[in-house]
Order: sequence, then C-alpha cells, then structure tokens
Amino acid sequence: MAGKDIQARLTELNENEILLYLGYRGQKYPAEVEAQIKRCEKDVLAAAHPRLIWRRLPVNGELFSALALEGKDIKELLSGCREAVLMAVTLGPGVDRLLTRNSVSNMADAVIMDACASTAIENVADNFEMDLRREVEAEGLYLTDRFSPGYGDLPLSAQKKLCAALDTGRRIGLSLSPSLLMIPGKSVTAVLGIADMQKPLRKRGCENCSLFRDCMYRRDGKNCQGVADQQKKRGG
Amino acid sequence: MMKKRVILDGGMGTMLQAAGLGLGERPDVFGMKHPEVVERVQRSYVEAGSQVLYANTFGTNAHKLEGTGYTVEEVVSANIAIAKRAAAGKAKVALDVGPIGELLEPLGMLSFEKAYEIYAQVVRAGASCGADLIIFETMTDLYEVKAAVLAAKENSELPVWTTMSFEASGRTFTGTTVAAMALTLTGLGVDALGINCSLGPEELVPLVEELRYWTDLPIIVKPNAGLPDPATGEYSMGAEEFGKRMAVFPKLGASVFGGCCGTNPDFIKALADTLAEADQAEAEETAGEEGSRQDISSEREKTGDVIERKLHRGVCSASQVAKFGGRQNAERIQESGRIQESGRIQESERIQESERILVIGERINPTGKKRFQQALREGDMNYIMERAIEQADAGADILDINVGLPGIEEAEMMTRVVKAVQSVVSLPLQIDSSDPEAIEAGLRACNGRAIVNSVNGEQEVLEKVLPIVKKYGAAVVGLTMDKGGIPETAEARIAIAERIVKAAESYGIPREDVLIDALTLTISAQQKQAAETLKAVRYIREVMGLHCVLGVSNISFGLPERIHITSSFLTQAMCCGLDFPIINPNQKEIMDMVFSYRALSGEDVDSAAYIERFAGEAAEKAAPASSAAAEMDIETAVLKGLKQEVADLTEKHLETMSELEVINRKLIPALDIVGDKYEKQQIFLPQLINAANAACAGFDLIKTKIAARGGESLSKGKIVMATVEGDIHDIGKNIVRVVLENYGYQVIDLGRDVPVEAVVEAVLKEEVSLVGLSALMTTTVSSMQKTIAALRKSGHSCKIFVGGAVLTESYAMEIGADYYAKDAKASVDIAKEVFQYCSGER
Repeated sequence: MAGKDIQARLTELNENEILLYLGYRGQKYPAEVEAQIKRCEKDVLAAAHPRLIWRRLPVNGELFSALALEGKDIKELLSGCREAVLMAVTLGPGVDRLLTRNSVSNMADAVIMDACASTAIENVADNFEMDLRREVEAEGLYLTDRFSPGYGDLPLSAQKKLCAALDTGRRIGLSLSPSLLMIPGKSVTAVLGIADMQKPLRKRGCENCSLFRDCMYRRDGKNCQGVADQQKKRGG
Repeated sequence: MMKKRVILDGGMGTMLQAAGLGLGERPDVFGMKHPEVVERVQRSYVEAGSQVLYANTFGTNAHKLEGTGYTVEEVVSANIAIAKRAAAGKAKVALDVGPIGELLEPLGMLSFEKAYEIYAQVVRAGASCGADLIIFETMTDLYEVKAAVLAAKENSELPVWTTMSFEASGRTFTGTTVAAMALTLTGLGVDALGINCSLGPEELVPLVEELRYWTDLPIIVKPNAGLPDPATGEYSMGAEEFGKRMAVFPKLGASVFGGCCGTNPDFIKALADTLAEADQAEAEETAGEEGSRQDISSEREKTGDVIERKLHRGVCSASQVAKFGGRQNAERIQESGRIQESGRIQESERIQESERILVIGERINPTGKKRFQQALREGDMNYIMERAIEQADAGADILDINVGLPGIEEAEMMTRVVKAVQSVVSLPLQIDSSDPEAIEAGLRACNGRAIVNSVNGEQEVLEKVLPIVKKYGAAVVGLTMDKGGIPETAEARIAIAERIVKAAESYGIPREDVLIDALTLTISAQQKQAAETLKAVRYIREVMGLHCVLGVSNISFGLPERIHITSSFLTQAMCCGLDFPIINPNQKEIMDMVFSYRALSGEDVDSAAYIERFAGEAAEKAAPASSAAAEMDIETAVLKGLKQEVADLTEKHLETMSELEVINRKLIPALDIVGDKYEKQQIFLPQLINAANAACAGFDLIKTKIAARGGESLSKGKIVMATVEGDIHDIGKNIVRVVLENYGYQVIDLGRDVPVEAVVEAVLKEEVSLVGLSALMTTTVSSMQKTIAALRKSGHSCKIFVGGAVLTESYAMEIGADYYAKDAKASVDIAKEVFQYCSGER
C-alpha cells in the first residue's frame, strides 16, 4: 500500500541549527557548555515521541478545494501539480513538559532544550519530506517544497483548516489554541505539491553550511543570502 | 458466572461521509440538516445487533459549535431524538461526548473548571431529553475525562461510561497510562470503562489485559477496523476478520463491545455472531465443569471471570502509578509453604508484591519553614515547583501537599499549588489538610488518584471527610488519635485504627485504601513512645493487613545530630511494616536507608537500584576533591556558572559583610561583567543564563537567611511579568525573570496566557512601578496591545516594557509600550532606569 512505510522519524539534531537558535556568533565557549548542550540534546531525544499524519489529495478534487487555502504563494506552489499533500508532525507533549520543568529548575537547560526541540521537529518534517520525495519520485513524479501556514501570504489561520482536515487532535494529539498556537508546541503543519515536472526548490539555511562556525558574515549578524531573515520568520 | 454482554454500534463518521458529509464538516450539524440520513445509519446498526446507539453528538459542545448558529441544547436534543427513533425501543441511546477539541492546562490553555462547565452544559442537555446513559469516548487526556465525569455525576443521575484512546505503547497522546485511567475512573465511580478507537482489535489485546489488573468494572472495547492507510486515511480490515479478532476479548474479561473508525453495520453483525458463538462455547464449558468444583477458581482466573484476587491498587498521576504492595505480610507468611512447593520464582514475586516501600516527600509544607511561608504569601509558585522537582529527582514516589498557613485562603491555594506542582512533576499526590474544603479542592484539581492526609478517630472528622474521600475515590490516611489525644499504648491506637477502618468501609472505602498512621512522638520528650509506635505498626500491618504511614523525622526533634536517630527509627519502622514513610527525600542519608532496605527486603530485585545509586558515588569519591572554590573569586564563579561555588563564596562573604553588601558589591557586579561580555558577544546565551543561575544560588542563600530571621525581604523594586493572553511561549519571559531576580528585583510572575484583567489587577494590588509583557506571535501582539491599553485606562502610572520575537523598537512604541527590551540584559537596564527614577522622585 502506498505510503504505508513512511514513519515519523527523528534521526539527528543539527548542532549548527541549535547554535543558530541560541544566537551563536562564533564565540569560543568552554567544554562545559558543549557538554551541557549534548546533555540537553539527549534529554530532548528521550522526551520526544514524534508522530506524523498526512494525506494525498487531488488538487482539483472536492476535498482539497473545500479547504480554500488563501494566497498567491500556495497557488504558485501548487501550479502544475496534480496532487497536494497535507502533513502535520509533532514531537508530542513530553517535550513541552520537559521544557516547563526545566524553565523552573534550570533556565539555561530550558533554553538549550528549546533550541534542540525546534531543531528536532524540523528534522522530523525534513525526514518525512525526504521519504515522501523518494516515494513520489519512484512513481515518476516530483515533490515541491513544503509550505507552512504563516509563510509568505498563507495566513496562520490556514492552520485551523489543515488540522481539521487531518483530524490531528484524534490522529496525533495535535490541537490548536484559540490564538492558533499549536499544542504540543513543537509541531509543524505544511502543504506540499506533487507535480509532473521538477520545480525549483528553495535554498537551505546557514545551519546546513560547512562554513557555519567561522562564517564572517554570521559573526557580524548577517548572512550571505538573506537566509537569516527567513529563519527569523520561521521562529514564529 | 457469565457476565452480561453488551453490543455497541460502529463507526459513524465514515458512514456519514459516504452519505455526503464533507471533509471537516460537523457531523452533528449535518444531522440537524439531514436527520433521515443519520437515522438510516443508526437503524442499520440496531438491525445488525447494536444494543446501545451512540447519539450523533460526539463533537457537540459550546466550544466546537461556536459560529455554527446552533446551541448545544438544539443539537443535542435533535440528535438524541434521531437516535431514539432509530432505536425504536430495541436499543438504549447514549449521549455521546468526545474531547472538547482544545487541550487543558497545563499543556494547553483551557482551565479544568472551564472544561467542567463545557461538559456540564452538554450533560444537562442530554439528560433533559432522555438519554439513557452518558458515554465519554476517544479521550486522550485524563484530566479532561475527570472534568467530564465530575460534570456528568454532578449534573445528572445517568450511568457514566468512559473510553480513552491509546497508542500501542499503552499510553494516550498526552501520556495517560491504562493503569492511571483505571485507578482514577474506578475511583470516581464510573459504571464501565475501556478503550476505543486507537488501533485495531489485535493491537488492543495487551492493553485490555493490562486494564483487567486495575479494575473490576465492566470493560468496554471498541477498536478501529485495523490501521488506516496513511495516504488515503482508509481502513483495510474486513468485517469478517474484525468479528473473528474480537473473539478474544470476552476471554480477557471485557463485556461491552463495538467498533470505531472504519467499521460499519456489517462489522457489528460479525461481532454479534462471534459473541453468540462465545456464549455457546462457554455454556458448554460450564456444563462440563460440573462436579469438578475445585478447579473452578483457577479455571475462572484463566477465563477472566474472577479477577478480584489479582486486582492491583495504587495512587497515580495521569502518567505514573505508585502501586501499593500486597495486602499483608501475614498472608505471605501463611502461604509461603505452599508457594515454595511450586517454585521459587513465584515466591519472590509474592514478596515483591508485599513489600513495597513508597516514599512520601514532605517538603511542600509551610510548617516551621519561613522561606516556604514567604513563598505562599507572595504566591511564588516557582519556589514551590522547585521543591517538587527537587523531591522527584531525589526519589520520592508521592508528594505531600500542605498549604495551611494563617491568612491564606487554604482551598484556593490548594487548587493553585496542586496545579502548579503537577505541571512540573508527574508523581501522585497526597492532599494534606484538616480543612474539608481544602481537601475537596485538592482532590478535584488533582490529575489522577490521590491520598488524603488525613482523618482521625473523631466521629465528626470521619463524617466530614470520608464522604469526600469516597466521592473522588481517594485513599486515606487515618491518624490513631481522637478527641482524647494520642493514646499512650499501642493497643489503644490499634483500637482507633479499627474504628477508622470500620467507618471507611461504611462509606464504601475498601480497607486496602486506608493507610494508618500510628504516630511518631519525639523521644526527647516521650522516650517510651517509640516502642509503642513500632508495636502498633507491626500489628496494624501484620494482623490487620493495613498499610502504614509515619511522619518519621519528628522522632529526633530536639536532639543533636538528628539524622542518626531518624534513620535508625526509619529502618526499624520499615522492618515492622511501615510501607509509606513520610520523609525529606533530599536528605541523602535517609534515602540511603530506604534504598538499603529495599535491597535487603528483596523489593529491589538483584539490588539493581541500590547498585545504580551507589556505583556512581564511589567514582565521585575517588575523584580528588575540588579546592577550586577556595581560590576562586565570586566573579569567576558566576561567569563560569558554578552554583555550589557561588553559594559557598556568598556564605563566606556574609561572615564579613551584610546581605545587602554582598548583593551590591559582589553578586551584581559579577552579573554586570557577564552582561557586558554578552553584549560584546564574547559569550552567548547559554553562558549568560548559566551565570544567572549560579548567581541565583547566592541570592537563594541570602533570601533563606533573611526569611529565617524573619526580616523584610530584600527587594530593589517589584516588577509584574506576564506572557500575554493567548500566548504560551514563555521561555523569553522566564529568562528575563531569572535575570531580573538576580539583580535583586522581586518579580511577580503571573505566568503565561494571562488575561488582560489579571495583569491590571496584579499591578493595582501590588502597586508596582514596572510591568513586563511578552508575546511571541503576531497573533498575540494584539492582546499585548489590549493589555497595555487596559493598564493605561486603569490610571496606574506604571511603566511598561515589552519583548518577544516579532517585536521591534518601533512596533513596541506603536502599541503604546514605554520600553522595548531586545533581550534580558536590556530589561535590566530598563529596570535600573525606572527604579532609579522612582527612588529619585521620592
């Protein structure tokens, strides 16, 4: 059966990305802090229980049209696509609990763990995207980038539609607050397209660059492509 | 002894989708518009054999109906009427109630009390239009189920059934375990409970087996048609296979059956056939057993019809169970001969059952603790939560919660503290109060099953407290004293224990849930009493078969080097049968005794826990003792984030300097250096906060010293801080709080998702001159703006600073703030400026 093998996978924490979230600017830091970050990574990995729910829908079908996702960006993403994929991933409430507990008992750990958890959920979303891309390409089709509510002109309120369509509360325990915060906090929802033709994919952020730790742009709080701005937006 | 079996219905959503319900459309509202479609589906279930129909009210509540133009009452009565028509007297109609759709505190923002109100409205609507019973299903949060069950029981007379949805791990999405569900809901007095949705029949087998160990109530099983295809959401299992796979559940002791997602009337028909076959087989089996009565009990145990003997007991949070030991030592001694014949493994299992020491942590209690009293008076939940975390880390199994202090509204504070504590630890709780109102408040707010501490032999106390214990299904501590005080002899204490058990049983509280406290008296005042206490413990445990509680540390009051007496008494008491010592788990020597005892008694199998505890210690001892603190200055210690060293150096400086001097001349300059390095990007965020944490150790020491001598708390000024309504991203606010506290400011932290009015109220009440607000999302900046507007409107002259990822200097000014704090360091500069100005004005 199609897609049966795709599981929620948390495979690694990108340390550069963790440092990026922690506002790292190339300072030298002692081994104790390095060890502290490692310990926090371990705790987050132990507390995380990644879950995934997704659906493939024909773009022109009744079900997808009924969602009425707004904005030019989503239209552009799905132009030339035959199918849309709705996805939601979450690390589960264990991570939220870990963060709450540590923000009482050890704030520094809490901040580092928060960064680790943000990195972790990105990894889960990336892994799904990668697995699905492989599957889609095996069918001779192409997967677009993933696009989340709050990016570009897709309003945050689209979150509500995605969660309802995927029944995320029942399927993966992900719900929304009235102010559209996702609970558990470390969760991602997104839309992807499946097209007949390869579409250009977005550039990746600093955290995936080999020059990350010593980059002279980053040291001055800048970057080589305006990528930092994009990162900032994603923080919301 | 065949149990009465009940057949429920199957899936509704998929059936309605096939009949035209759109993706994301509300089924209950669809029912209002197309009653004939829903009736047709439900009638087909009755024809297939369903004896209970779930009305089409799964998602009906005020929260979900918002904006649909329908009221809860309209939707409930219409859909119950449809189900009644479909049932036509051949099936009962259940008011079907699902999750509210928004997560409860502490994970989410919906309060327990609000959830209760939402459910109460649905329950009243259902009861008034003639539902036969209420079923709460597909629940994943035990706290939400508790609100629902209380709402049902307090607003109707109808039977209440509950089912929750689990993952294969045996936990729900929010972490509720099968055991915790069973303990809590059996205690609350539901009429049946079980599992629905989640998984297919096969995957539910181990969960139903587990459930049987924890409850003697009828068990409900309502699985999905296997697992869904992730890409399409469709279920693969056929009706026939489903029916076959359901055959196992009657044997496991379940008695109420149905289908959930992906099932239809064919599945229910197949299920009904399976159950009829099982009935037939069982009838034959029973007939064959006539004449060989002796084997019946073991046979029944296998088939699950007799489960009483195996029933586990305990108290729990939603995610963690503290399992009570076996019923009594005497039983073990009596049976050991027989057990030895049948093999050693069984014997060791049996001992493990009987000897279970559960440590109750005593540190959340203001009695004799000035610093704790101060925290209660200031509503400083962080301090209390830290005490909870500390004890959990030290190995406590249960936490005692006592908030009784003159001038504090106890019931209200109990609710607040219980909620705060369970937001950071997952240990079961013991609600400690003599005020029935505070006890009820604590039991209600507790997410799980608690112990009540305590009742005593006084009739009046028993009559007031036991009904509350029964209502919430708690366990209860009985003190062996009464109007006449504490009897001097063991015999007289035992007599009181007997009276308490009898009273508990008369309220339907089983004796297994009564824990007797034979009372520890101070040997420096009444030396002979230690022996009497131990004598009473032995009798109560061995002869009466009851659990024993003792507050241990009182034994050594007034003596030097108390630890020796306390730990020795603890060991003796455990030998006599004390299984619930109330102690300070932070005292290493005391916990060492507990670990040693567990190894000696065999409870700690292969001494694994003992070895784990002390293997690390040996390595630590081998390492050369650090003499760094002696040579280090406080600036370096703070910069390096070394807590213990900072505390030691603070202690040292206090020998020659006043508290204020240590703060102003040592700790704050050290923090200034760190702040400066941070600003210059010589260090980054984790280092800044590590330094703040370390400085905190110094401040804590000073605060405790001042509180102990009853002095005014040192404060450079009060600041109210809050993460605004609708927002729960509070990590930034928490960083700022820690740093501001370290600069000597008293921060009144209102928490997250704080309503506008609550901020205004706190500012007016506490007369603060500075307020800090945080918001992380663009959607919640608007509520920040509202909070600022309300503060201005109140006429209070406080200054307001704001921070958060989406804010900028100009945005902050635009929404009316006085200051924008880009980080923690900036907020300190703002506080310095504001309070300098304030004091200058004076």
